[in-house]
Amino acid sequence: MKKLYLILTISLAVVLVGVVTAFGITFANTTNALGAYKSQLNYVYQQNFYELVDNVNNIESDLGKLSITTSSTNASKYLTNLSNTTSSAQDNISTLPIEHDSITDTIKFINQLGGFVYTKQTQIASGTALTLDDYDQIETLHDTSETIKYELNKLSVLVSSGNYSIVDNSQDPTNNESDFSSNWSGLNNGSVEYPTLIYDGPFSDSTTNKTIKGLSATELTATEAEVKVKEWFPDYTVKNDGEESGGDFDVYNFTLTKGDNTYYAEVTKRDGMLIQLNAGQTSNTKNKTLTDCEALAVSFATTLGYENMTVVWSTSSSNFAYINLAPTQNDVILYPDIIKVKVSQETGDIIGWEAQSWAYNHITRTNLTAGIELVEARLAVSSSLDVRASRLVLIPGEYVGEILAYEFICVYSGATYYVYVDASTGDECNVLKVIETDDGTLLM
Amino acid sequence: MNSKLLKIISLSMCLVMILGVGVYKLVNPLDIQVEEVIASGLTTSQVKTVQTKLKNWGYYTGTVDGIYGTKTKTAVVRFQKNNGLTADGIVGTNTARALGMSLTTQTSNNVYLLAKCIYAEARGEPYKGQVAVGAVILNRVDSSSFPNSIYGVIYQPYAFTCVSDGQINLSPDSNAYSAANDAMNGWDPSYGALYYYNPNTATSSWIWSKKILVTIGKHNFAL
Repeated sequence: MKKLYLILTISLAVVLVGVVTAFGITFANTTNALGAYKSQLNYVYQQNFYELVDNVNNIESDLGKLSITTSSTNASKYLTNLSNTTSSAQDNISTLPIEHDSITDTIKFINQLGGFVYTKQTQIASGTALTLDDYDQIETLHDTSETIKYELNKLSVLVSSGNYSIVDNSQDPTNNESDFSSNWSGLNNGSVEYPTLIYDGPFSDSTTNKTIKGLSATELTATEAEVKVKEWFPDYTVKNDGEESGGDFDVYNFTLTKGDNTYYAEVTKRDGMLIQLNAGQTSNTKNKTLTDCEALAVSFATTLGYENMTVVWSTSSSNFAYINLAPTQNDVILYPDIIKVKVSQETGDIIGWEAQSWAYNHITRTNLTAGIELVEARLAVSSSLDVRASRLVLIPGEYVGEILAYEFICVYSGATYYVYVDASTGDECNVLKVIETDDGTLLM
Repeated sequence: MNSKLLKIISLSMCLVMILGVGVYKLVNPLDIQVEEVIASGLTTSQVKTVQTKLKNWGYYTGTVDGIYGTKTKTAVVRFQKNNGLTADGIVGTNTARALGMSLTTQTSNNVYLLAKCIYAEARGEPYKGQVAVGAVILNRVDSSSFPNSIYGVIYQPYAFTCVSDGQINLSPDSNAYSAANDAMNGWDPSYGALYYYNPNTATSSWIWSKKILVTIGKHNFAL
């Protein structure tokens, strides 16, 4: 009996040891795996950090060379280098685990530098050498890049010291003062003087301020706006949600309901224009063709008082039709004033309207006379393209202003291209390609 | 007696082994069998179209599930052989044409990712608020202060809580998908905002310094 008791105890002990071992192995495996993942992540952070340091070192050196060169060929070479290094630095910096508020100034500087470089590359390619103003800006950019380089290299000494782990020092995403973020603070505005950069290109400080040209000073009361909404949407119950004024537009908000559907309409205080309509309405079948929807969009625009709107683009995605309408003036299509309309292909209901571009840009244009004839402009289009249609249009400049251009819709080896030729110089100014995706047609 | 002891010991050993394996399986539930998925270059809906067509014509007997597995591939090969096409099991332009379907050249991963982010961040919000969240992401892509792609903006460390807590991996519903498409097509109910936050739960102190443009549902949209 005693022996059996002993045997049972031993067995139990063996079982217990087995269970503990199994748990132990699993725990050790998990810990090892976690450790391995953490190291792997740390290497990714480190790689991006060190690549960023390298890229900034190269940026500083190329900006230095660019600031003293007198040769356009060399300038082009340094600009091409800078284009690559800024783009790569941008990729590196956006993966680093740093609080947005700490890193935003450096990201902005790198983006603006990239935009400036792109603009100067285009300038040199079109035959205009760098001006004295350009050299002044390059000098400023070089000064800033020197400070960033100094701070980053200082930080890289810390990161490469001992067992510094970027992962360990950025563990808590809710902690605003995580160590790596505070170590980065030497690069914040205040420590580094970031310049205001103005140029005709992407990310320029000048392009961030838009002015409203399309609305008059006449203001409507909320009640007057409500009357309009009820006229536009007679079948809906309209609820006034009050005024909102934060962005560029002061608007009155309305909630419209019809059955289970809820629509959100926003009407500008100035001029009482429907600036936006949103509706989370489902559309499960395709009872209406894209052409039907185009007609419905144009007809709704007429109800709102927009006459002579032309359909300039339409695409269908998951039973929703997206129709772009543009006004015309003297038969010229005004692309900057585009209004976007969303139509349910199931019911034909207008379930979306977006007219911010119109509100910003729509005025009567004064100079819509082409400097050259269509036949002349046609010469700028490659002869291998099969031109299907052409017309005079006003397009937004790549970053600023507007350009009067001839639009040629062409087909080349099965693909459709939109080619734009400047109607005063006869130079090709833009090419867009129609791309079929699984979610509708895009013009890129 | 000795044989009895041996029996008990060997029984215990067996028990230990069974228990060990059991515990291991319990703690490592990932060890499951997955049917092989073949990279077909097709979207789920395209695979479903292929499967439906092949099923109607008697080439395919499996379920129409949008997964391009071995059964689907075998069916495609048989279809190709019968139609004088290269029997490689790949639905290329010619096979697609013979099937009576068109292949688009580009998938819209960006729209899908945007929809996932909208769903994870704002699924309880009014529709307008969902479009606004999508618009903020696209405004960030255009802004100098943020990364320059939708992927870069959404996966930027600490940018979105839904990325930190994994909710980004939930499947978006049709509303979120529709809101993503609206934002991609130019709708912006945030009027150019770069930030949004729930004033009741926001933890970052700097967010309060941003100028509020509009309030939609629970979110303040700010610049």
